[in-house]
Amino acid sequence: MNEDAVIKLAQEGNREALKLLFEENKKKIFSLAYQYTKNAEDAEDILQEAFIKAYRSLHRFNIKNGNSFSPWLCRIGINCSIDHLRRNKIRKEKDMIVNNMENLTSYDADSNPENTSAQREIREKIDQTLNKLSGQQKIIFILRHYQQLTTGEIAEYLNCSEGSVKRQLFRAVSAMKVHLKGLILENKYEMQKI
Amino acid sequence: MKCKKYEEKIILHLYGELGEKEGAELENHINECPECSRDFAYTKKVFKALDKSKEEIPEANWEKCWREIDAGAHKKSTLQKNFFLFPRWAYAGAALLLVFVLGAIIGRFLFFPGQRVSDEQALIPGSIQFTLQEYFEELKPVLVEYANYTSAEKREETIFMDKEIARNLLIQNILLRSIVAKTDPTLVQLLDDVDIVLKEISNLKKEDRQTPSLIRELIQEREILFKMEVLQKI
Ligand SMILES: [Zn+2]
Repeated sequence: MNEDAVIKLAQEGNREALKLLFEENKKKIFSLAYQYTKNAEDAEDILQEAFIKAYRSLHRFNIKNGNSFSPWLCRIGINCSIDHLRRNKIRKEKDMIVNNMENLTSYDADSNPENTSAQREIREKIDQTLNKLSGQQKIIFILRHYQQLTTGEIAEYLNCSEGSVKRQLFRAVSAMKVHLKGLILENKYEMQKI
Repeated sequence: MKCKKYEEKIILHLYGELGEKEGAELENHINECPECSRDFAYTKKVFKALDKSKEEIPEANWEKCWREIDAGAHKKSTLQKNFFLFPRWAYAGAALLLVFVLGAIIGRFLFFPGQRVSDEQALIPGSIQFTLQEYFEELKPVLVEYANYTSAEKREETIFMDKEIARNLLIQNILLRSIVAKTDPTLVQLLDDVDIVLKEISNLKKEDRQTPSLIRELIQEREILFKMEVLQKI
């Protein structure tokens, strides 16, 4: 059964069709949301929110224009991610202060032997840098670097020009370059391992 | 960094996004320019570090997610639910919508006399979404103009028009804001941000050169256009 037929069925309220769309797209949306929020629970919430929103506005999705479902859903997922993070920001900041000690212990107890302290430091720096970017820069960076979409595809997803995507991407990567400088260049750690 | 244009190209090259010709040209330059060569080597290291610290995506509880979606998808949307379940609210909303539609008709009459508003569509409560989309369509060109504002432009002639349009949009914004007040917090936040921008435009003075830049920053900082764009896709 092709995608158009499945969407049409889902538009008519067919539950199985919606399930099929869920199965085909769940991983993509979840990983995007996870990379954006760095929290599995939040990513699950976003996945749910995105699908419910998509389902409710599915009647506005036009198959005939040669649109494909996945980018459309991704756009909804992107929007949900940005909103979710902003909504939770204040709550999270409060939690962070309270749970600071617990977080530290759980970090140290990380059983992954690959997770050397140098790598952990770099990872923390990357996360910090990501959080300093604007919502749009962050999502563009994630889509390009982790989801491996081309800048052309990202432009299509976000409905903006490719030039603008490239500029934002440049800013995001430049920020990474600046913030990682001390950790990567100082030869404090063996770079081969990183 | 002297070779600014190569700095950006190095990044695109590492993403495999430079064409053959441009890629070759960049590599030639890197071979000749020690500074770019260093930058290239360092950027590669940064990419490696980024890849290395890429987190594994955990497995989600797919079944639980599906159950929530299945349950949520078949409920009425909060917007519609609030509208139909609370008669007093619906009543107030309908009254506001009526005012809004009147405002829209008057507004259109003044500024777009060629277009006609389809009032039956606008009066159906379920069509708030539609109304919103229409509102965004009107709002967007104004915001785009200010988002791209540069002080070199001569704006004196158009400021009068902008102020009128902004005032008209502001009324719509306030009404829409009150209609969606208890529903989607994202949308409410967006309308609040728009509110600030429109108020600034409405109060612009001809000789004021600074406020338009502030408005531009506000639009960019709050990512208003981006958010509208994404909301319109939904
Ligand atoms: Zn150079």
